[in-house]
Amino acid sequence: MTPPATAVETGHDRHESHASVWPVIVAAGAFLTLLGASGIRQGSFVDGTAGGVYLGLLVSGAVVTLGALVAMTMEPFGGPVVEWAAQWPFAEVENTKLGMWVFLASDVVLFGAFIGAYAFVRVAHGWQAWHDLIPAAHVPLPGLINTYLLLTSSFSVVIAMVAAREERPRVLVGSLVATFGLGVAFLINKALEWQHLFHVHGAAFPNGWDLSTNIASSTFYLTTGLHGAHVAVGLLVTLYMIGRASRGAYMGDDEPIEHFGLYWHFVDVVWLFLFPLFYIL
Amino acid sequence: MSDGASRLATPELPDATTLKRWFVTTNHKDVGLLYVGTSLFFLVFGGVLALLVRSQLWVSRAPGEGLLGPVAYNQAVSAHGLLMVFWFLSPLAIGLANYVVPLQIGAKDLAFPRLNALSYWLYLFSGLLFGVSFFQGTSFSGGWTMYAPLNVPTFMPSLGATTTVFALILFTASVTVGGVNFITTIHRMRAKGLSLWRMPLFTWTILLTVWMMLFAFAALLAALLVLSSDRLLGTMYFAQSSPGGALLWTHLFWFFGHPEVYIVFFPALGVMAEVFQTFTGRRIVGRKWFIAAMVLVAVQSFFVWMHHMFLTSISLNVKTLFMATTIGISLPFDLMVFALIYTLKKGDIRFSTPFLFNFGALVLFILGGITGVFLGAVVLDYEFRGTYWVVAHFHYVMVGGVTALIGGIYYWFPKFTGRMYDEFLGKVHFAMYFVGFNLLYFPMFVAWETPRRVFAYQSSLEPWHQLATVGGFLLGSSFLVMFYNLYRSAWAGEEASASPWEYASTAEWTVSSPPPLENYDGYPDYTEGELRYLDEATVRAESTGAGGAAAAAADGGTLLRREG
Ligand SMILES: [Cu+2]
Repeated sequence: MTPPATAVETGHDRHESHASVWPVIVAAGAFLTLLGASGIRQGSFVDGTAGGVYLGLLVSGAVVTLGALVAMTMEPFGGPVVEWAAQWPFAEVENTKLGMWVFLASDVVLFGAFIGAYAFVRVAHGWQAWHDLIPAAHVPLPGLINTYLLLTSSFSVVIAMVAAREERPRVLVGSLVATFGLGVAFLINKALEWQHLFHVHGAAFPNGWDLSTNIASSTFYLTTGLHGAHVAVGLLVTLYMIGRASRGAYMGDDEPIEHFGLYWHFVDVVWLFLFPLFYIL
Repeated sequence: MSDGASRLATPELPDATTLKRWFVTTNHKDVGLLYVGTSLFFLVFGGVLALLVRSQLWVSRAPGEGLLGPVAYNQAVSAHGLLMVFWFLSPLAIGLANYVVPLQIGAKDLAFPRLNALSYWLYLFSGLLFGVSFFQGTSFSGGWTMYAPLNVPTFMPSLGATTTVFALILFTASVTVGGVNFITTIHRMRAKGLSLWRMPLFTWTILLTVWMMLFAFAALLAALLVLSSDRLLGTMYFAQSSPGGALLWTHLFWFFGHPEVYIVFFPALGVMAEVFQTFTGRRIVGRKWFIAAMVLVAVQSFFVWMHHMFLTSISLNVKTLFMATTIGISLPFDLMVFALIYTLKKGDIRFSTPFLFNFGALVLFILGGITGVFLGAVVLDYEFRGTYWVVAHFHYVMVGGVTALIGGIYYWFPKFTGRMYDEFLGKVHFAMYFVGFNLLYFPMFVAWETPRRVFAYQSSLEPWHQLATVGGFLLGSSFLVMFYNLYRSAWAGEEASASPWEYASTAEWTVSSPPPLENYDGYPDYTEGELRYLDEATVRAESTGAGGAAAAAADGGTLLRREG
C-alpha cells in the first residue's frame, strides 16, 4: 500500500516524470523476503546454517522492501495529469481514490474467500459440533473490546481528515497518534488473547489451543491473523503520516488521509464480520 | 517537499540505448516492451520443459526409464503448466496492453507510472523466485492445479514447493497492482469524447480482463495464503484430516481458474478483433453485440467453476446447474465467433502475417471450443476427465489464444520498433507454427485414452504420441524463426511509417513509429466523432471548435483510407 505520490504542480507545463529507481528495489526486496520465508517449516526455520541464511534473507529483504517503499512515497514524482478526458462513470472520483476503491474491491474478495473457506469447513465438520473444537477459555470479551477499539480509531481518522482540511496541525497529529494508539492497543489485546489460548490447559486441550490443534483453531488464527496483518500495515502507514504531519504536511490537503481512511474503515468493517463469526456464532 | 525528499528523486530518464534506462523507466511503452521480452523468456523456459515431457512420452516407459525420473517428470509437468499460464500468457498480453492501451485511448501514460513499473518488477522477480525453487530440493511437483492434500508438507515436504507457492503470491501482487492501474487508467483517462461504446476492441478486452483478474486473483491469493500457512505455520485447512479440505481447495482454485481461462483468452480475442478489422478493411460486424457478449461472458465466468469438479462429491443437482451455466456461457462466444467470421466474409482480406496468425487462432479456438462441450456435459465428463482429451482441449483453447497474441506481436512490431519485420520469414513462422501445433495437439484427441499427468500409457497409442512429439519440436523451432526475424528486423528492417497498415483505424497508428515519449503533442479528442488533436489554447478555452488537423476514424466510426 503506497500513499499517493504528491504531484508537484508548477503551473500548466508541469514536468512529467518517467523514471524511478524504487520499483525495482521494492520488488527485489520482496523477492528476498519470500525466499527467506520459504525456509520456515512448522513455525520455525529449518535447522543448521541454512536456517540462519533463510532468516538473514527474510530480515534483509523486509528492510529493503520497507525502506524502498518509504523512499518511493517520498520521491517527488509527477504522474500524468488528467485534463481532457472522458471518465464515465467515475468523473467525480480522482485517480488515486478510484485506485484505492478498486484495490479494496479485490480485498473484499480476499476476505470473502477466507470467510467462505471458514463457513465451508465448518459446515463440512458440522456447524454445532464445531463448538467442541474450541476451549471454554475462548470468550467474546477480548473480541468485543477490540471491536470498540477499532470503531473508535475509525472515528479518530475522520477527525484527522477534518483537521487536515481545516488546517489545524495539532489536532491532525493528535488524532493520528490516537489512531495509532488504538490500533496498537488492538494488536496488544489480540496478542494477549492468543497467548492465553496457546497455553490453555484442561482435559480437552492438554497441549493448549494453537494453530495446529484442529481445524477450528486454524481458521480462527489465520482469518483473524490476516485481519491483524491489515491492521499492522495500516499502523505503518499511520506512523509514516504522523512523521509527515508533524513536519507540517497535509495542511489543506486531506486527500492522502481520506484515502488511508477508506482503507482503515474497510479494515474496521471486516472486523465487524469476523467478530460474530469467530466469537459468537 | 523537503530536501530529504528531493535527494530521493531519480534523475531524468536515461537514453534507450543505455542499460540503466530499463531499470528505472516508468514509461508505459518501455514497461510494455519489458513485459513482452520477459514473457518470451518464460515461453522458452516453459517450452523447453514441455519438450522434455514430450521426449519422455516418445514411448510408454516404466518409472526410472528415459530422460526424466518420476519426480523430475512431475516437476517438469507442473512447472510447464504454471510457467505458461502465469508467467508467459498473461504477461505477454499485459505487455501488449501496456504499450497499446494508453495510445488507443489517448492517454500519455498509465494513471500510476511507478506502480506500473512496480508490477513489472514484481512479475520478473516472481518468475526468478520460481526459478530458485528448483534449487531447493525439488520445485512444486503436484500439477498446475496444486490439488490438496498433495500440496501440504506431509506429501510434498520440499522447501522448493513452498517457494513455488510464494512465487505465485508475488505474481498475484503484481497482477493486483497492475489491475488497479489499468482499471483506473481506462475508466478515467480516455480522450474526451471516447465513450466506452466507442473504445477500441483491444482496450475493451483488456478492461474486462483486468476486472476479471482483480477478483479472480484475489480468490487465488486467498487459496495461496491458506496453503502457505498450512506449509509454514502448520494450520490444518488442507490436511488429510480436515473435513472438506480437498474440496475446499478445488472450490477456491477453480473459482479463480475458470475466469483465468478468459483472462488468458480475452486479450487474444481483442487482438483478433483489431487485426481482422485492419486486414479486412471492415468494421467488425455487430460491434455493440460483440462488446455486450464479452461483458456477459466476463460476468458469467464467475458462475461456472464447478464444471471442473464433476468428479468430486458435490451433489448431482449442483453439477447439473453448473452444466447449464456452462452451456449458457458458450452462447455469447458463438456470437463473437460468428461476428468474426462475418467480418471476414464481408471484407477484403489481406493475408499478411498478423492476419494469418489471427485467422489460425480463430480456427483453433473453434476446435478447442467444440471439444470443450464434451467436458462441460456431466456424463461425458465422467469418461473424459483425467485423460488426454482434457489436455488436447485446453491446449487448443490456451495455445489458440497464444496464436492470436503472436499475431499481435507482428501486428504492433512496426509500432514498437519503427521497422518492418520480414514478411516472408513471418509466413514461414506461421506455416511451421500451424502445422506443428496441429501435429502436436490433434493426435492427443485421437489418443485421448492416455491418462493425464503420468508418463506410462497403453503402448498401442505410441504412434500418436510420437507424432505429437515431432509436432512439439516443430512448434518449438518455429519460434527460432520468429526470434531471428524480429531481432534482425528491429535493427535492419525496412523503416515503417506511422501507419504501415492501410486500413488501421485505432489511435496508436496516428502517431509516429515508435511514438514520442509522451505519445501526443496535442490533446486527443473524439467529441466530433473522429480523432482530432486539440492545442492547449483550445482545451483551455474548453471549446470544441478549432483543433488540430491530424484525423483518423475513431474505432467506432467510419474507416478512413490512408496512403502509406
Ligand atoms: Cu472452466
